[in-house]
Amino acid sequence: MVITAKGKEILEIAEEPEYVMLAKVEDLKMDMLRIVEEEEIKKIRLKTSDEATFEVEPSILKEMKRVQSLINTEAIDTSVAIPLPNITSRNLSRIIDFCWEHQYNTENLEEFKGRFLKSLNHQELKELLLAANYLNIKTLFDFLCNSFTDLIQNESPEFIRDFFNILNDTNSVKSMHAPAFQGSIDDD
Amino acid sequence: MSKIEDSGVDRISKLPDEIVCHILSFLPSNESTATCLLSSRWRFLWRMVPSLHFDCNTSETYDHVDNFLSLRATPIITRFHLNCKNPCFCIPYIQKWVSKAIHGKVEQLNMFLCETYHQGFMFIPTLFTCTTLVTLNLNFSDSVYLHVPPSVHLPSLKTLQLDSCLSLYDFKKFFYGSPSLELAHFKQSPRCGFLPELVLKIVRSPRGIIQLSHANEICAIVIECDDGYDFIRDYLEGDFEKYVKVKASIVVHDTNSKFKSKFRFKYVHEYVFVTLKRLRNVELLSFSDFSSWTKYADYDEEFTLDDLPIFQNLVKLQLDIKDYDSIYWTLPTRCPKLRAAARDNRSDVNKDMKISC
Repeated sequence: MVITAKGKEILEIAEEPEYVMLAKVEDLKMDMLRIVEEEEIKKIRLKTSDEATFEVEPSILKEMKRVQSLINTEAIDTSVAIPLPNITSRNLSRIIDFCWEHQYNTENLEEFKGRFLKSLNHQELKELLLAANYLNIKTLFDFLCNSFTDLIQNESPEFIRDFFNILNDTNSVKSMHAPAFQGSIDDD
Repeated sequence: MSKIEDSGVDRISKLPDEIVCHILSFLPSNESTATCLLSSRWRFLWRMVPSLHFDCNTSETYDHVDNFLSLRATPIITRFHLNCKNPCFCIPYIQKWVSKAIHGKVEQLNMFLCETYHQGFMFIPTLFTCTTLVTLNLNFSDSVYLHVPPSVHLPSLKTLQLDSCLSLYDFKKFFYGSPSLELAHFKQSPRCGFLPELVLKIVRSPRGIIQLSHANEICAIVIECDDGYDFIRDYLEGDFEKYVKVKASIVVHDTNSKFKSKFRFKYVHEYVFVTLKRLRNVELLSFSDFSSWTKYADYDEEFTLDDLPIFQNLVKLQLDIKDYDSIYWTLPTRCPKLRAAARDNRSDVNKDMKISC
C-alpha cells in the first residue's frame, strides 16, 4: 500500500521484515538445540492408573514435588516406571503439558492458560485439581484454585452448593451463627 | 458428614477441606466467610482459610476485621491482600495485620493504598526480613511515601512489584536483598515531585535469560542476556563497560508532539546519545527513533557524527527510523565490525540510503 504523508511517499509493507523472520528461525534453532540437549538427560518413567507409561524429563519432574521426593529418598531404579495410582493418563498428559508450557512458554503463557481452562469442564477441573494436589505441583494447584475462585465468586449460594455438590442442611444454623462480616463490607 | 454426599455417584465432588480452604483463600474474606451458610460442613470451614483479603473503604470495616481475626481457627496466613481506599483510618491497623501475616508465614502480600495520606509510611521492620515471603506487591498512591530500612533480606522473594513513591535507591535495597528474585517491576511516579518517571522491569527466567527494560518519557531500553552474565547489578550501579554479550534495543518515543520546544528536543537526544555511549560495547543493537528531526533541522549542527560513539563490538544492527533527517542513519558507519544491518521497511522513504555491511 502506498500512502502519502508530508509530501513523501511511504511504502507500507504488511509482511514482517525479512530480518525479523530470520531472527525467529534463529530462535527456533536455539530452542531445538536446547531440547536436544535435554533429551540426553535421563528421563523417568511414570505409570498412570490406566497402565499407561509416560517418559518425563527431569525439568518437568522437578515441578512434581511428590515424585521428586520419591526419587530423592528411595534410590529408585529408573528403569522401572513409578506408579501413580491416583492419576489417569489423560490428566497426566494435561499436567505435563501445563508444566512444559509453564517452563518454556514465556511469551504467551496467559493465552495458553486460557485455552487450557476452556478445554476442561467442571468435573475435569476437579479431577485435575486433586491430581495436582496429589503430585504437589504448586504452580498448577494455585492456578486451578484461582480458576475455581473465579467460577464461584459473586455467585449465589445455590450455585455454589450445586458447584461443590453440597447438601443444604443449614436452615436452622443460619440464625444461630452469624458470620463475622454481615455483608457490611462494601462490594465494589 | 452428609450421607447423600458420600453415596453420590460423583466420587470427587467432596474435595478435601484443605483444598476447599485453598480455593477460598483466593476470595475476599467477606465472601469466604459467607460460605458458612452453605451447609453444616461448611459452617466453620472459613475459619481455616489461610488468607486475609480485605477491601475496605469505611471506618466500620476495622471492627469487623478484628472480629474476623479473633474467630479464625488457624494462625496460618499464606496470602494477605489489602485494598484500602481510606488509609487514614487504616494505618493504625495495618501494622497489626501485617505482623499477624508475618507470624502466619505469609507468602504473598498485596497492598493497595490510595487516597492521600501525607506522611511517610513505615512497615514493621520484620516485613523486610520475612523469610517466607514469595510475592510482594505494594501499590501506594503518590502521596504515601514508604520508608525502607537500610537492610532488606527476603531470601524467598521471587516476584516484586513496587508501584509507589519509592526512589531507585530504595528499590536497589530490595533488589540486593532478594537473591531469588525472578521478576521485579518498579514504577517511580513522576508526581512525587523531584523524581522522574521511570518504569523498570527485570526478568530472570529459570532458563538463564535475563532481561531488563527501562522506560521513561524519553525512550525505552531493553537489554537481554542469555549467557548467564547477571548484568542487573552493573546496570543499577551505572557500570556499563561489561555489556558485550547482550542484545540491546532502544526505542526513542515521538516526544515532539508532547514537548513542543526545541530545548526539549535537544534534551531528549542528549539523553539518547548518553545511552548509546553507555551501550557502545554491545554486539547486537536494535535502534528505533520515532521523533521528527525535520522539524528541528537546525539541530543537525549541534549533534555531529563525532558525538556518536564507536561501537567496537557491534556485529548486528537493526534500524527503524522515522525521519530521513535523523542523525542516527549514520550509525552503521560507527560500527567497524558490522556484519549484518537491517532496516525496518515501514519507514521506506530512505530506500536509497546505503547500509554498509
